[in-house]
Amino acid sequence: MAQLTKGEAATPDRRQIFRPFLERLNSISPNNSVAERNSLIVSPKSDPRDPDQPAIHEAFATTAELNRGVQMALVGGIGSGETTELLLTLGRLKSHDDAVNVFLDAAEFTDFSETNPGAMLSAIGLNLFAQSNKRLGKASEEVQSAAVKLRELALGKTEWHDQDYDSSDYADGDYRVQVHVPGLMKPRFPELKERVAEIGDLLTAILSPMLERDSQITVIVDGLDRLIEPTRFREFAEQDLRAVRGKRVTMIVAAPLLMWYDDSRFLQDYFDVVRHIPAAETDPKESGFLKEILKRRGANKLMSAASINDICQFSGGVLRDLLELAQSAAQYAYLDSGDRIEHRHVQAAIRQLGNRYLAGVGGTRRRLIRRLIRDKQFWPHSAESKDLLVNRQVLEYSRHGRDYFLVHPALIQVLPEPA
Amino acid sequence: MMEFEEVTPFRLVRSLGVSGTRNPAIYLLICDGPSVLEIEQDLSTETEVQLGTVIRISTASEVLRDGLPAWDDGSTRLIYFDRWLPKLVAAMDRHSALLVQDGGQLLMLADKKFAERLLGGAPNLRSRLADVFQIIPDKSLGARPA
Repeated sequence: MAQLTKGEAATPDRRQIFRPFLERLNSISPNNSVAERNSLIVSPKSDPRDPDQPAIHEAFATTAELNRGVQMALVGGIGSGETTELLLTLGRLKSHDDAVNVFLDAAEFTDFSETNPGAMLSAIGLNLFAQSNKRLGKASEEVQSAAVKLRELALGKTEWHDQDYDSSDYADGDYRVQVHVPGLMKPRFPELKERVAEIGDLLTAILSPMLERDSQITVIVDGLDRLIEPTRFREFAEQDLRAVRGKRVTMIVAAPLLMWYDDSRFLQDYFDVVRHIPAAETDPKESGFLKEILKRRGANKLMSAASINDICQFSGGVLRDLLELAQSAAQYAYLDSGDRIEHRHVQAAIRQLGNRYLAGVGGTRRRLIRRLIRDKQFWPHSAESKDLLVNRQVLEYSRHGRDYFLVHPALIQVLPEPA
Repeated sequence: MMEFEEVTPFRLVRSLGVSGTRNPAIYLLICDGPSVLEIEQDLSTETEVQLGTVIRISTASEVLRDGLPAWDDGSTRLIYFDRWLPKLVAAMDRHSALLVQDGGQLLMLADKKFAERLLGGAPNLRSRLADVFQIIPDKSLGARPA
């Protein structure tokens, strides 16, 4: 490092002004310790759809504590804070000595590119086996053998077989073809696939030592909301989740937003408890939640109250957008050689976010967006309007028991006038 | 149609520097035409000079074929979308939460058409972008800024 000569003023390292703020805005920054990360979380005080009900994580944790084996779903749009709610639920469940908790991200156990029934069930079984070993010591032979078999089914194995194919087997025409004749009674959910049922049995064996000790077992699966397509999520639920039913394992899963608007009402039909996180309230008179998230990260030391308000408002109540706007504004201020985040930096961040939302929005969707702005009309039933919801160009809100839709405020800022 | 802020490799790397190389982030950089190679070279030089690390460059075709190796050496990774690969984009979208979970920064370099398709068709990935810039070579703005 260069030595300062006499009379030369030390130039402050401006990185040290902005870097801690940027790290606190980045929820996955490895530079934040667990304690720091926890201190940054602003717990919602109540259910976002009903201020008289407890917060979602409180409701989930209480249900898991009192009703073992229930299955719960959390639905919300991209960046709405589902992972935070699930982590808060996990945090509360951890306070019990007998609690066995597994937190999985769906992307860790399957590619999603094709339906893969049994993958989630296998991942749950292997994780629970690891937990059981850690807590209860070496498992019985029966449990170990179930885990070995499960691992083989989950990860595959290589075997050598003698080639004994004999075409004469088929030479006399004595072979049979399976034909399925559908019955009159339509089952509520399709049958479990043979492989899924087999994995379910192995899971039962793995669970047995924990259940003998009356453990409270909860599995939280995040990331299924990234499936987007309701049918794909439904396949997971109908196979993997259903195979867990009756095993006294509580399941909490993140579900894609479109399930909330699915005409089949599968979510409400299948799950015991369903909660929805709409976009957060942006009006500071109604709620100080968004402001508190920014203040907890030190925003008030770097920007004015007006800038904080702008970021809250133009985030549309999407928590990830709130953090992104603050992060971009801080980086622009740094590049601009400033020590504080000014109005122009926030405005530039809003335009950038708006342009992201504008990308790929074709004529039909623009018409839907303009109609919503002009006439306050939006129906989440057509493929185009569902796309707008999934992509967050249109946000769903709930206030005083009334649901309504608005165009993302950052998108409105950059939406060109119709020709 | 899309009018994102312009940035040069020098300014972009300076911005990465303030976040710290261990502060995970994903950026989408839009660059058209023959300047792609120049951009890659400028980014490599600036990363070495300003951050003291290297930038590992792969094409999207290579990533689709070989996968994106995990990184834990603090290096920055760049994927240049040499072709539109819906399979890769869909996989990146579904696994967006895990792309930089080990730390490190990921830069995606694409032309305007591919960038627009990516922003429109990969909502999970888009929501995790730290920013989107149109990147232009350093020489477009004259001498290297002090």
